[in-house]
Amino acid sequence: MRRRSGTLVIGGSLVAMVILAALVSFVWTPHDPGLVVPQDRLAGPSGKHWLGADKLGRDELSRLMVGARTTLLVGIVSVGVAALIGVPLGLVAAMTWRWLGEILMRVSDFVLAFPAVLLAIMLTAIYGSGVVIAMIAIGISTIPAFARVVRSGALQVMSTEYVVAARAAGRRPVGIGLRHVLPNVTSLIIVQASVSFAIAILAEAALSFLGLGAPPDVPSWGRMLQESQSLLQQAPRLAIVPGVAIALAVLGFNLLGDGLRDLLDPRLQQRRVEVQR
Amino acid sequence: MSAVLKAEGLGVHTGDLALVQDVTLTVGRGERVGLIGESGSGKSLTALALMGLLPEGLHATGSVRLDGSPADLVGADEDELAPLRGKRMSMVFQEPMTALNPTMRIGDQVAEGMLLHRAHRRRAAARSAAVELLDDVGLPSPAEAARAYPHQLSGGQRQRVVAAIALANDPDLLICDEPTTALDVTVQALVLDLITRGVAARDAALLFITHDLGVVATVCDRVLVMYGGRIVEAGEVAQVFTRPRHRYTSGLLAASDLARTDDGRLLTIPGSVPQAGAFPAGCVFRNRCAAATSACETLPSWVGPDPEHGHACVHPVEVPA
Amino acid sequence: MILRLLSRLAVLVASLAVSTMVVFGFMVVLPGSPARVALGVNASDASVAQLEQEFGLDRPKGVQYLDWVGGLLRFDLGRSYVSRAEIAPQIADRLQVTLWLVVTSTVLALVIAVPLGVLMAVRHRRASGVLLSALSQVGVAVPAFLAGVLLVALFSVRLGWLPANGWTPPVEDPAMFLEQLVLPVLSLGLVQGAVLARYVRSAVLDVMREDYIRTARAKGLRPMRALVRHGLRNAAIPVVTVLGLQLATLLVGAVVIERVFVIPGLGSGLLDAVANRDLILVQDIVMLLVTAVLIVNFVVDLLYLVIDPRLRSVR
Repeated sequence: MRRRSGTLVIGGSLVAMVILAALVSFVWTPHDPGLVVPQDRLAGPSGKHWLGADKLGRDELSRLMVGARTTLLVGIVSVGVAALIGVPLGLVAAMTWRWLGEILMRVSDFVLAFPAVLLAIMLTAIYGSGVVIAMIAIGISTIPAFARVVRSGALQVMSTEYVVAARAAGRRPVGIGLRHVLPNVTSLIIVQASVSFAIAILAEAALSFLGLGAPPDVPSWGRMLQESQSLLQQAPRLAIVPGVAIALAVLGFNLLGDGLRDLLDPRLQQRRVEVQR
Repeated sequence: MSAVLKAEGLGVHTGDLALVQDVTLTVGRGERVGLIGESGSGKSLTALALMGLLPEGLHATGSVRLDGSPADLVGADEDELAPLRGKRMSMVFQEPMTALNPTMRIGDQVAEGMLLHRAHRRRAAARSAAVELLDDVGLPSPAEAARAYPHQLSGGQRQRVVAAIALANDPDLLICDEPTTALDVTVQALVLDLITRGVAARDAALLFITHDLGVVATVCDRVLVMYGGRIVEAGEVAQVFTRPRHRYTSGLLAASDLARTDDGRLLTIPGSVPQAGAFPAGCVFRNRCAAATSACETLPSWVGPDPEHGHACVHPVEVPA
Repeated sequence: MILRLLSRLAVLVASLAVSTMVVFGFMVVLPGSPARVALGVNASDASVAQLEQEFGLDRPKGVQYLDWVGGLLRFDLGRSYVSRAEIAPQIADRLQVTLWLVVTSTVLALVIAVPLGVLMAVRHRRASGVLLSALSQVGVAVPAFLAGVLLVALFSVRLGWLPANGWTPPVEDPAMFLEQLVLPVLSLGLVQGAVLARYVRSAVLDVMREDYIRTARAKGLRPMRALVRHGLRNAAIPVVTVLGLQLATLLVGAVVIERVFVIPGLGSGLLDAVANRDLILVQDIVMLLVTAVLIVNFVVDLLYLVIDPRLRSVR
């Protein structure tokens, strides 16, 4: 159990770091992230540029901090929208007619065949690239995850005695859903949100790496990595800095999700009791 | 009579929590010994400790010896234990629905143990021996059953298969952990019958774990009563069941007797079995015992001629002379 | 069993049909016409009209859709709006390239994940297991393109052992083909392997607690042998599911990796098509990728039948 809470602490700290970097960047960055300083081209880490400067002499740390903003924004909007749509769908699939649930699950299987990046590429072909396109694409492809998790959790709750009793007592489905089912699947939703956030970060990074995410003047980690590719000889640091940022952010949300699952999942507590048999 | 199995001071611990303590028992060749108690009393853990199959995080103390094997099985490593399991000692588990591999054919699961212990060197020979064995435990159309997967058989049939696996190499010791609890009452008697016949045919020792006193009365010669991870009473079945000495045993007998009622209500033992490790110090039963006094706060010593006969109670039930 | 097979087949066909509508639908909700998109905003109305007429884009949408789907069924993918070349042959070449990438990296991922996952499960209480598990967690957090860039930085730029990019068909120069294949396949395979290893670990951990493993031990099987003989097949059921789901991720990874290593596969083709605003090509490639994902899902369902006898019996 102790090691598990370690997961939570490490994950939580990494996530907090990313959030903090993004928040601070609104009021302060070491330099203007867009400021081109020709004499600082490819400058190494120094007192002036803690993480060095890129091929245009822009401060790497400042760009990294503002990049965190882009990452979080895309994550929050896409995961948030996916949860807002996916959770009710999952509840409906679990609580209404069986055939409707089956159809919804088939549809979600189908949506899984369109990964976020593919969807985004397709949308970009039509509407041009942009952050909003990335959010829509990632959001759509995240809906099934929420719908599935909520449905299976809700089905479990629905078979518990107190819900059966409430149904037998003639409570309305909506009432049961809000009173009994939703509170009991909240922990599942929180865990899924954390895991989905990690996936959203990966997708956003891939898109901006391909030049399909944020526009060139908005700093983003994926684009920073892509720009570093031609400079691996002179300045491998330019690849490592955004690369580490992406990996740590994803790691943070994954660990946070794992830690929360262990913290919130009542089934694990049951398992511990079983051992004592 | 030579003792096939001899356990002395056997304990099971997790961390510094003792789940089973100071269990001493012997089972002789051809002898059928019952181990009874409520769920949570440590019966199953005792059985798993004897087989060296305790789950992760639990470890055994004390000593367990199998006749003819020089090593103490407690603390023995896999190299010493694996050749004994399934060959000299084997086990039938409680839950027939999950005890068999769902993705392997019945015949292969039965033959596996025989091939492993070199009873048969050729796969084909082991297969036909498996079919014979399935016939022996009373499966209808055994050849067909051998080709079936577990989900195609009923619970009773699966338990016969588990018994066949356990008996495959003619073990000296068979441990049965509640083998009939999960079965329909009508099937129970059939499975019990095949176990007792199987054991008798091989002159094997049987350790039979159950909470069902009726089953013990029909199957066993001797019985050990377990509560709170300790043996509280032991003796011949007839003796213990008609003249129990330990207060727990008498409570258990009273509760199982459907004819005896107290103002029309069934008799029960007051309270419930505490959580593992939460048993009182001294006599483990004293917080549920009507006869308990301050004298019970120290661990009662064993009263009896040997560990197989006697009780551990400060205020035993008086025996009418 | 036959019933299950048929129902799965029906689902596959239905999914494919709906996919064509979705993909086509996305392309036609667009204001204006694909011809306008291809030629750019500054093109004259006359040239747009001419292109529309040439490709039949002035016909009703329904007719265009049926025409497209009918073509797909005959492996006729139409002609590019931009280069006017037949699409099918060029996509076939690209498909081959991407298949090499995806198949070899899936094999690599499995070769890494199965032993590693089993090891992590068996040793989950020991320091070595915990350490491996932590390492795999880091592996999961690294996207394939990042792994690609870092591998190039190390093995091509720093050490000069392997080419940083490029693609040579195996029939032309097998040695060169292999050299160029190593880094992209490592980028994709290592990452997928890390993800898969974690699923193998949890599947094996679940199986290790099963009663039938205890039965096998009681027969006299040693722990590792009991796990291999009785556990792996059962653990394979959830792992195969994940493997199927991962293919979609792997395809996306391949799209990006092809960009990193300048490989002329479907991914590069797709991105080029987007850059050229060649909508019919985008439509065809997306449809092809989606078809691949759906077919793999179907195959995974068939694999269940092979692995789990419980699904084979008639209800």
